[in-house]
Amino acid sequence: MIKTETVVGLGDMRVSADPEEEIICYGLGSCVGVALFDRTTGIAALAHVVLPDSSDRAVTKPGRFADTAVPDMLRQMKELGADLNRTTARLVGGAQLAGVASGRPAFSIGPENVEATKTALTRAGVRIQASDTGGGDGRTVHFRIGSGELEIHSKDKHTLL
Amino acid sequence: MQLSELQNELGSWVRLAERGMIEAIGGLAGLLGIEFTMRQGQSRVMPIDEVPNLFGGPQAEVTAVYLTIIGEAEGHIILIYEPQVAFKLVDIAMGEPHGTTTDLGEMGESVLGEIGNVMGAHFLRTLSDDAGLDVQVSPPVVVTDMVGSVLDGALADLMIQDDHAVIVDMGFGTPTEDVSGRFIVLPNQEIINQLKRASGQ
Repeated sequence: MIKTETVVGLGDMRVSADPEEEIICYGLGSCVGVALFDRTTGIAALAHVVLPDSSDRAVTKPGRFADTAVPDMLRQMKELGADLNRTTARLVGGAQLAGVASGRPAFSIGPENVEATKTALTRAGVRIQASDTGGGDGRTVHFRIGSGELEIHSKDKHTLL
Repeated sequence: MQLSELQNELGSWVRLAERGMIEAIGGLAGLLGIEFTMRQGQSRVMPIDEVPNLFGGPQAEVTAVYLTIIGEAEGHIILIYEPQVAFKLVDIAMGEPHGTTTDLGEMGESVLGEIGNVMGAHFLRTLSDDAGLDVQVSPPVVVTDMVGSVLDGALADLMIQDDHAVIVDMGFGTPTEDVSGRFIVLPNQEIINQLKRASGQ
């Protein structure tokens, strides 16, 4: 039974152990939804990553960058009691606008976000359990903490990860 | 650039952008042979992560025509329509009765892209003529999807430079509001820097 819906906007993240909570990222295009979950404790995190690399910027919102979102989510999960050795990741998003091959930065950010997130997860020793990334369509992610289920809606598809 | 500096620069940029938008909407009217009216432009500096809320929230479905401004100054032009309105616009452009287009398909996307091209070219001519900027527009991309996913490539591009975006937003439509859309321009920081240089500041 879902009693709380928390929307995670651009560059935000949410860490929670409430089994009646659902965390949602709407309209992921080139952004990547990074879902972390420790199934044994039921502690979950979802970040809406916008850019691959903080590049030494002063970071006010760690969820904005792949290289800062992953360690910050893991730190917060650990504080709530998660076992990081059992924590796994699922990735969603990282699309590219269809029909564009101009090489403009805005259009290569999706794949770069996916790669940077994978690198950050590997560095942290977190296994990637599943992913639904790339393509040209936007995605919305619903992460139900109680079941650990990740439901993804896009234009023509409705999938569970 | 700090937020306060951006706000100081906003005035000259907005005046220029609005002149360009008026030219662009005039170009659309000329292309389709019908009258369009326009709303007073809304312009602001705002946190980038709040921009999707201006267009119904990140989950609202829209049809968008996306062009990038490239050359001496860079930025993003986005024309946003409700999907049903985009169908009407295609019908008008093709001289078909209302209700003929029920799915954009390749032809509909091509028509909307061409409309975007014409509007983009008129807009950039104003930037070129009035501010001496050597700029071009990329080929248009037409996409029907959630606002969040349509915008986030452009917003990510802007977020590389700053946490805030300058956004100029002008509504346009037929006098009966049968067809209406939003003309959005998101300039990169460099456009504002170029304008400063051009005006000798």
